[in-house]
Amino acid sequence: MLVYITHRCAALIPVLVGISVVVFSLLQLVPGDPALAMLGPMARQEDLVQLRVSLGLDQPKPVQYLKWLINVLHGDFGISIQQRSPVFPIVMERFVNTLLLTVAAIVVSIVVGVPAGMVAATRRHSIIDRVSMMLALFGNSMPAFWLGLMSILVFSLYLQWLPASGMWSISGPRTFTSLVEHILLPAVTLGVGAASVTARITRSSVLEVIENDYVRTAHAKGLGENRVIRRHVLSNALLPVLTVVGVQFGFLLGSAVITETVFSWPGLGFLLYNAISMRDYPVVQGGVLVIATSFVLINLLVDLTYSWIDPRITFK
Amino acid sequence: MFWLKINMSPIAEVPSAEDLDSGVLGHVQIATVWRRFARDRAALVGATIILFTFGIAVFAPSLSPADPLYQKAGDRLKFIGAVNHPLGTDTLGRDILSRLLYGSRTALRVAIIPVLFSAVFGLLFGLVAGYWGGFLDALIMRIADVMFAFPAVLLAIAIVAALGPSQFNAIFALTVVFIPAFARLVRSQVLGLREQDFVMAARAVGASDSRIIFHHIFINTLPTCIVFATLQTGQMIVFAAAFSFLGLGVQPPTPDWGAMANDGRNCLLIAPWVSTIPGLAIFAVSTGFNLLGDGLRDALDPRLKI
Repeated sequence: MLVYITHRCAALIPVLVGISVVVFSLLQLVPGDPALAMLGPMARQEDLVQLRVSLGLDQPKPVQYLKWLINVLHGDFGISIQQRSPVFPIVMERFVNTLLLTVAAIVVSIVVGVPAGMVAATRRHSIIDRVSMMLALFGNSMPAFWLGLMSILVFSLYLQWLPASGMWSISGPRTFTSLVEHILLPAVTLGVGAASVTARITRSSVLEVIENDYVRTAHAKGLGENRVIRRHVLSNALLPVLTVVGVQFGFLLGSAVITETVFSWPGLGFLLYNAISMRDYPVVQGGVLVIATSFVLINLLVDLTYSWIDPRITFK
Repeated sequence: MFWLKINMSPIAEVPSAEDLDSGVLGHVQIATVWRRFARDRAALVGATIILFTFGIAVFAPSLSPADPLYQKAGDRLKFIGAVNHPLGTDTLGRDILSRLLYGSRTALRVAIIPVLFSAVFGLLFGLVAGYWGGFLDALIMRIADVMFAFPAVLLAIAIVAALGPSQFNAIFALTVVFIPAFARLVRSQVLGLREQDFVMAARAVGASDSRIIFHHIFINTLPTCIVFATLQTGQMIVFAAAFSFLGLGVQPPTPDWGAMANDGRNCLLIAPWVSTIPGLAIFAVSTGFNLLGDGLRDALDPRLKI
């Protein structure tokens, strides 16, 4: 197990280096002079020169990269052009909110997707199976931003049950109830697509496990249906589901940009959206770097959990 | 003699030696696939939706009741069913039906081009990496690993953010971020096919690498690629619309469903149709591609797990 963990961690290093190269290169993709693009055509000459120096644009590319990397490793992501303060604290503060939203969406994905897939598989070809798979298909084809708008329209504007934007009420205390009220619509919006994938994977995984001899044996020795499903089928069928949920986590961190923009959720995605429209490249770089790094770490965590749950998996 | 009937029927579907030699899916196989596909009602619904959308895209100029760009301040936010505006008008008084019809062109273009290009490059990289292995394989797969470390949507957004928002840049970014998925899929197929007896047989009779790759391996990866590309198009319709929704894709005043949904955000309560209608269109076309993809998978190779 220790060997496996060491190998997996070591394999992470080239990927992390690759991520840093890609994020660094983003600034190189900016057509023309990045300093001019950020400050606009009305900028004063001395401001442009100062920004070029602070971004290190006056040095050769490899030197620029190394300096940038060393700074990043020290938690220095540069200065936000728009907010005129260090990027790292801004990004991390928002990242916590995004993480909260993503976890809530994953909960939606599991709570809706796993039971739906289970029921669909155990009652194969029934009406329930067809309806839940149809819903899964719709969930997969639904544009999240549109679902968000529609849920705002119905639940916030017409019914006035839930708030349409933000994370807390503008006035009033920051209570847990207030947070739950605010997170419900964005979490469902973000989680619906993931839930439909979870449902499909759970269904096919359960169908595969049900075919196994040990399930037939469990039935043959007289165990009740519920017990067979819980003890023998579910514990084996959920392994692939775990992997998919891990992948979804990263996917949702990325798609949070869209959901957060619709609901003005004060997360990293919303920050990125604003930074892009303001051409605040240090914030864009910092945000993308944090999301990609956490995506890799989450996948590592999922892999390790996987091998912990299923000891047959070892590093080859 | 019931059993004889059962045993007889598959014989009729066995491809002739000529079919096998040509390496291309023979007409018998195509007939089998078609028969399975035609029985799948969901897939037919999907195919109908897509054909319908293509029809609309082609005939948009003759179908549209008005100029999709024509603004009239007096006609702002007309309700569905208004005179001359069957689906109402938007915040600038433009006819929603006309914009919806013309928008199908943008939707299909921004979804299909990235899928096609990422399929072509993915096939190329996947074939090279899978067939020859070695250094090129390691290099291609490590680059893919790094790109997989980014959520695809986020990487595409970041690329467009750097290059500047435009339709071309959105198409470019969406192409780039989906190449690795294709490459990895093709590579894993090639690794399996490379060891098959028919490839060994081809090599034994002295077939060149290029002949083996194109006549034996490439052709056998096609069914998987077609299924994957179709499902991917369903996703791409949604991604591309999200790009325009965020203002990163197609720029105004070009009619685009994502941008139209965004236009209606500020008048959601007084004119909910402005956002609702284009959203339904995106949803319908995406569902169409997903249904078609599922149907093609079941018809071409039900064992595929995509």
